[in-house]
Amino acid sequence: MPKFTLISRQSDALPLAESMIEENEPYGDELGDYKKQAKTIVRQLSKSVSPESMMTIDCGYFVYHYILVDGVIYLTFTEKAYPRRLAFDFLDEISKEFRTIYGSQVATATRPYEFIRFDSFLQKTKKLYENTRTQRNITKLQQELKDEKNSRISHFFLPDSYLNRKDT
Amino acid sequence: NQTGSQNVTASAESTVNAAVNNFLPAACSEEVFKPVHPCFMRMSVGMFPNAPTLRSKFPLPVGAVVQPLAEPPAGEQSVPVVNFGKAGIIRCRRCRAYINYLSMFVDSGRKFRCNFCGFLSDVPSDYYCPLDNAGRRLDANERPELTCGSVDFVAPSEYMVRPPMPPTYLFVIDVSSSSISCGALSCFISSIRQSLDFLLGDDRTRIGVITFDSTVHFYGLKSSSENPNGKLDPFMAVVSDVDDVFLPIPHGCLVKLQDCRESLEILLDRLENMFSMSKDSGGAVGAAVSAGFLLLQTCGGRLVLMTSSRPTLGVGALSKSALEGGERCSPNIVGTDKERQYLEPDNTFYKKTAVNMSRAQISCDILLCSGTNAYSDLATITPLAKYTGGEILYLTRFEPSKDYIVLIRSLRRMVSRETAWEGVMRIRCTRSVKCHGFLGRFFMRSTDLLTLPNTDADKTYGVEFVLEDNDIRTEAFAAQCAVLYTASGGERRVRIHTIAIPVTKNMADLFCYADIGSMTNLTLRICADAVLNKNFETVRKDVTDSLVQALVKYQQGGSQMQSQYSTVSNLNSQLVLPEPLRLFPLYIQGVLKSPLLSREAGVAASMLLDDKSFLHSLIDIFSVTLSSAYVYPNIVPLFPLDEESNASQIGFFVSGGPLSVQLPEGLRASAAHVLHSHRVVLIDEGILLWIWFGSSVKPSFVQELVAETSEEIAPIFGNTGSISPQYLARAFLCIPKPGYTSSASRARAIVQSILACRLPWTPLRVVFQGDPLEARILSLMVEDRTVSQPSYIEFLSSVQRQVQARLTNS
Amino acid sequence: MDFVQAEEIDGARWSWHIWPSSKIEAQRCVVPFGCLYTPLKDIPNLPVLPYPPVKCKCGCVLNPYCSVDFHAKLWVCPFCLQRNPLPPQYAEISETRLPGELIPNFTTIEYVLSRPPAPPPVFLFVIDTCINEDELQVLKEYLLKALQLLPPEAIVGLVTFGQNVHVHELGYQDCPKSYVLKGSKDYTPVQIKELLGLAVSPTRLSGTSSSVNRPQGAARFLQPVSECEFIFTDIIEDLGRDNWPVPADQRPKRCTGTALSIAVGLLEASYADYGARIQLFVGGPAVEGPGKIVQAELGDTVRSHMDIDKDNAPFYSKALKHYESVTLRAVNAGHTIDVYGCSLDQVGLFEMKSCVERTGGFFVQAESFHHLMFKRSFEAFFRGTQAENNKSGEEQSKKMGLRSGFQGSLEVLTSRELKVSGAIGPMTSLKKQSNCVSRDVEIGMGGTCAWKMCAVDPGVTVAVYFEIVHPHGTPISENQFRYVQFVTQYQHISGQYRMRVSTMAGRWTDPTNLVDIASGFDQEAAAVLMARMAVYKTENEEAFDILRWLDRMLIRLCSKFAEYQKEAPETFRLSPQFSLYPQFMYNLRRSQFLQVFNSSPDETAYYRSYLNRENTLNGLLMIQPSLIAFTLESPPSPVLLDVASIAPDRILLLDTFFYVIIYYGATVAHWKKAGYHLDPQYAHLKTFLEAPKIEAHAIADERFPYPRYIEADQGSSQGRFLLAKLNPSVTHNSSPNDLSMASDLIFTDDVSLQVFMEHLKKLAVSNQ
Ligand SMILES: [Zn+2]
Ligand SMILES: [Zn+2]
Repeated sequence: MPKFTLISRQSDALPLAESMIEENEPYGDELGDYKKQAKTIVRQLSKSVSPESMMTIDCGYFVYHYILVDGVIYLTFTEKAYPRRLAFDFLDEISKEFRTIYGSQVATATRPYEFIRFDSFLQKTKKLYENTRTQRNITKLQQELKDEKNSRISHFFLPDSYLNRKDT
Repeated sequence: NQTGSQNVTASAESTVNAAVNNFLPAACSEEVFKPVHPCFMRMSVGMFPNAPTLRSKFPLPVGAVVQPLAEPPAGEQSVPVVNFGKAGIIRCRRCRAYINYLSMFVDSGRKFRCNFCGFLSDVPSDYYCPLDNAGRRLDANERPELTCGSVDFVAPSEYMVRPPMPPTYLFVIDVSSSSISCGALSCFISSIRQSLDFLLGDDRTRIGVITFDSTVHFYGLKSSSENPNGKLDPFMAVVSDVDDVFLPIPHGCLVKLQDCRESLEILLDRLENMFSMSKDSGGAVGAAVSAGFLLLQTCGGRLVLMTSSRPTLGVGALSKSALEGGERCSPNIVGTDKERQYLEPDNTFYKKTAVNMSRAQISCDILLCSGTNAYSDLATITPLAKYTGGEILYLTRFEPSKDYIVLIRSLRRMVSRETAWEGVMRIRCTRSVKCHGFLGRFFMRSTDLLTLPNTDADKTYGVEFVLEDNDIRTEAFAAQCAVLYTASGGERRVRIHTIAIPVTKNMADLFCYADIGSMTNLTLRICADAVLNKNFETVRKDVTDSLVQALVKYQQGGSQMQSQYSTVSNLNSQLVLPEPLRLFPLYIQGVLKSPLLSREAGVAASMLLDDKSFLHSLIDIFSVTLSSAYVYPNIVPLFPLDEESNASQIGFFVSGGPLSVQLPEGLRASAAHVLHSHRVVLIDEGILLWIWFGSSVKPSFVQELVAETSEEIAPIFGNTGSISPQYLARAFLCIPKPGYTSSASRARAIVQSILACRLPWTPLRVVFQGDPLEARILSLMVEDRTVSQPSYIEFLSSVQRQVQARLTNS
Repeated sequence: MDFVQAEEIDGARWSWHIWPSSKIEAQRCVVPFGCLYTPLKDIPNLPVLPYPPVKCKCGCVLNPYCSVDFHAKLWVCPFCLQRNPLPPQYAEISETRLPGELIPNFTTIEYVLSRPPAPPPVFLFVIDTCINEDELQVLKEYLLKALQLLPPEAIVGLVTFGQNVHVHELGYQDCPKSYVLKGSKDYTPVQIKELLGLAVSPTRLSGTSSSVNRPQGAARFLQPVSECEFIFTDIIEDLGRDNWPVPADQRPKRCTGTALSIAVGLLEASYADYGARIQLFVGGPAVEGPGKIVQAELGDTVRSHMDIDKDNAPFYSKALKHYESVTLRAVNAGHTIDVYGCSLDQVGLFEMKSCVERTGGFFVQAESFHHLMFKRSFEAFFRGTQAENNKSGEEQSKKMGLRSGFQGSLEVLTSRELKVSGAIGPMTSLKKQSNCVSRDVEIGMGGTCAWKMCAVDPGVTVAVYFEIVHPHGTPISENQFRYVQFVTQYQHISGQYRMRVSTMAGRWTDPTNLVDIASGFDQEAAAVLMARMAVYKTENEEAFDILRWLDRMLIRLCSKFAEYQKEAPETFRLSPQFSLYPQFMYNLRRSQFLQVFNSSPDETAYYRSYLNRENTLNGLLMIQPSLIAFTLESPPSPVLLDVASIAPDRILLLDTFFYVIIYYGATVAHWKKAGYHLDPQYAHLKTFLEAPKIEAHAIADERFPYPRYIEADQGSSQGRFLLAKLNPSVTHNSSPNDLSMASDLIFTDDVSLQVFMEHLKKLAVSNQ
């Protein structure tokens, strides 16, 4: 399931909204470092000239999935076993809502998490995607992933030291 | 020594007259601390000792009192918010101090010099601005950070390890029979309901309810939007394994208020009835707190513990010996040297939990309402609030008729005042000065980093400064208090208060520019701390000694000091202190007579251990205003006004809440001055407001007061028929009807305006002349002699003898 | 001798009817002297006497075999030969005025005991909420149905579990409320009692004044249907999946073992010694708590027989131990556990088997709660719970196969020449010593003459084994009989306590009179008695050794009772009483009871539990399924359980008790596919195709648990279910000649019945 979700501006990697980690999150304690890694990914995307518009980044047991729409990076973090189909559907759903509400304000945002109120929607939507065994998600999974060919799985290797480094 | 004694009397007279009307004591001179308003931060000295040797000779505390989120008084501008945008927050590269009005720009504005460590840092290009001839930045006037002592910086993402947390409130409510029988439960529930509209945060606010007795009950709340036509009845999950609490359900216990308001209200409506028949004697306090911790663990928030029970079972239960009571609940312990042993928590569970909470950005508020004769062992659970920056409210001998309004006022204030979430605080000083001995409610994460899962407008901290081995080489001493926090609206900010005072090598400057308010505040805090580790007598002696020492040092400073600075006292007297410290002996007398240090049997008897530990927790957050009133009460007549203070022009304005009232001239804390039988008098001891009714007050006053009682509170209490003190107290708290000019409405306006400057839960008690409670009022008459303690004049005489002895010996 | 007819009278089938009067000779008869007894068999016109029984000092109940002195008002106990006075109320007795228990036809009779009636039975539902939404939906629908079917006075309770266990309060009006216990914890019974507030201590719950209208203690959780119907329905309707987030590569954190332990704890603290059933509905393996059988990671598979054998099932013994301790507690309180395991994955029935078998419960196993096997079995059970007076007509009474008695016990009394060596069935030893207990031989649960049957329904059949202790060479007179009395006490669903007494007499014969002995051999009962012994042995012995033992026993039996000339296999002949027995043994060897490697451990547990509780006929069906052939030409007729029975123009109907399979020969399958039967011109074809289905449904409807129904065409993969049961007379190893004759063949290396018989003959004639 989507463990955390990060919405950032592509131009400068400014975080716009992010989900809060919930009390029932099975990997709650371990996610801090992955969040840092996620931010590194977003920073790299902000530096790259023409980044892929959709990608899955493998980091062992977990993966990051992101889509890039209208200058905004929507990134979510799931277990590798979580179906990609659902992860991208999730990203699609939240990006549509985000664009509707905040699309026009993205360029002028000046402070981090200016749209943090969006976390409410993130949390609600996450709940729908949490369990792969619900009827809704089983139905989704039965459909073909239409963009399958367009998305790449990248083995994104960060320096080993990265996860051990303590930010001061 | 006849002349000596006369001098003493004269000196006392002149000083105490200056002590009255101290509702908002001014700083030594407001100018000294500019541009920081003293409500945020003030120092005990207005000039800073330049060397360790000088400091060591000065017998009084050198430190600061900080209230970083104080609400500036009306008329003062609020703290400006600065967004550095792409430049990021500008800080010294070496000592990490924040840029401020004392930073010097050099190299045509390309670099700035840190006023703390002297290091030259580059100015980021996005922040660059050329300088004028005087070396000032051309844009200095448009930049609050370069002109104001207090600024809020918008924090960029590097200052966040996670997105800003939403304001989160978890109410943990005692539903045991002890809570029901004293009426606390229904007050808890209704005060929560009445506070819902005031909760901070917008649509992100999260809320949850846990109840407990001998088991812990979680409630699953349902979202109205997800169940448009569905049942919104909450469901209840009981966790009876109070030795090992766990989350029974994964969702729904902590919810968005906006989504689940209906469901929550259904729960609050039913809650009282659900437990009305309960015979459960409760006591799973530790388990309930652990349960709350589990819910808040990932996101942080405020755990509001509303209890009437002692922790008797499950995790965190009191030890067998504590459960059996014994000395802990004996009325004869307070004021003895055994006391401090029982002011220590009975177990370490609550401290450990508090430290874990602090890590998880949870703060715990304790609202303890105990029934008659109930011993609650507040000392044991206090660490929950002490180390998390939480609120502590203890209502002893709880009765809805007197306490409901206090509870509701407190809760509203607690949930609605300016609050900083998930904060950390650090104070940086000029090189070779270090902070030492922080005092207040917080947890020290490292030597100088205070973690504050929560701090708010009402929380004050004390800190002392020590000079390290070297002399200060700069002309000014500066201290910068920085609180990194999340505002209730979800913005991450850094609040900065930068204070600067000149450095001096003269002892006299230390005396002459002292700030008596901060000095008293720090002294009181230091005493409160010391009394937990030392015998009463030692502490009393130490505090008296510092006064004697101060007098001796000032005296020894000799003529050059006195010639340099005018003093008010008779040159022949040994009791000479400069104007700013003139009241210090009186305040020390107040400290010694206060319930904190008093060994007076009457004072001790009126307190149980719970009261004492509550007092300690209050001193932890005392602002200067409160500490001053606490050591020397503010006393004003409420009725009749005209004859007493025909020159009411002497009074000054107090503004608080909706009122701005001219106060009559204050009275000295001496029964002979105050307790006249035709009078109604307000006595403000900071943490409690007393209204004393003389036995022959004109009945018209009472009639007016009652007649104007607005309907707002009447239905809650009903009309009791006979006029009880509680009823009168409520009458004082009613919303005054506009346009009234009666004596009663003026009195009410005075009371309410003063109450508005006090902590939210400050109770108002009415005492009739001759009532047994009058003893407490008499104990507040600091100048009077009591059974075992001298009058102010006697005290001064004894101080004088000690000063003389020292002077002779040296 | 018509054994089936005899069974109708007393509910008993004996392996041997005529017994040799010598301990030594009896041992040489190989097949034990045993009885398959159905304690609560529906016996038409069974007399129910409204007064308590008259008993001899030895414990035996007055019965038609007693000789009565009508003048002296004395009776002689045929078991201990003591004389007992008749009680005063028998004063009017005479040869022509006999009380029911002395009327010769009524060798089986029931008494209503004079104890105050028991409270209504308790049904505690224990629901797995880790199952998929649609599964849960069906389950909820059926639970609500059960509520309608249960008598209104019946007491119900609800426990749901996922990661944690929720015990729902059914007497709470203000909001849905449950007590939650941690799934990963192994709570002791005392803890459970305390945590559920069942230990009513004066401090916690003082005073039950009349103003307190909230039930306290167990009544919070267990309420009569009539009183909690509304709340119960509400809770069930609102019940959602366990919504703890589950990582995509993991199983939900199901804590079945903890839930069951808590359910047992609730009942043992509140309804000990009164009738209660725990009905566990579980849809997957436990991964949490003491009943854990597999890791949460989906990559870890649930243990197979191979894993258990190779000690590669790390959670097996701990789970087994846990469930055994739960069983012990349930048995002590007299409560029954039924398990509905509905999942494609295993749910741990193998570990739980003691819970079901020792408490008289039952398994229902299906792939899903959607499956008819669940739905029909469930309905049948709950229809069966309705009180007797609610039934309408004969038709329904037949379906009430599970009209159960609670808190039962079975005691066996014997006359002096024989003793009880043990019993095998859905019960637990009460460790009761008496003169009737064999000291030397123990078969199944031995060392006792009484067993507890927490639940006993009309179908439950127990196997009781006897030992003849009459010394060799001491002849027994012609008119001396052996006597066995079965005394079953139980709590009737109406709350009455009842006692059923069956007294049976049998003939002795000279130990040398083999022909006489052989004439009383009931090969069907014998096969089932042997099968139960073999299955019982699987608990402690290697499968291979059990097969060897079965072979040895068969060979010895044949050498003793067959006609043959030594060393001349071709002369080997078996009398009709024995003729089918080797075939039964052949099929038993090949059956799922002993050949476990084609089944999961759960399936094995499931199959074996039914062998141990069903009557002779059903037991035999499980060992050797019935096969009926339908052809266009002739009426349906039984055919050999042999691959040779398959023919292209035939439809076969196989009933294995657990499965009912319709198998279309290739030609028939072709007709069906082409839709000829839809053409009115071929109406007879339609009838032909429908006949086996009608028959199959008739079989299924009568059966508990509802069997799995399969239709297969010759050559299709589903056909394997049929082929596995057939004698592989033609295999891929057969000679080309045989193959050319055959319609089908089986790919197996198993020996065929023919080969088996050849070996048997050879060994039987040489083994002297
Ligand atoms: Zn610096
Ligand atoms: Zn007898």
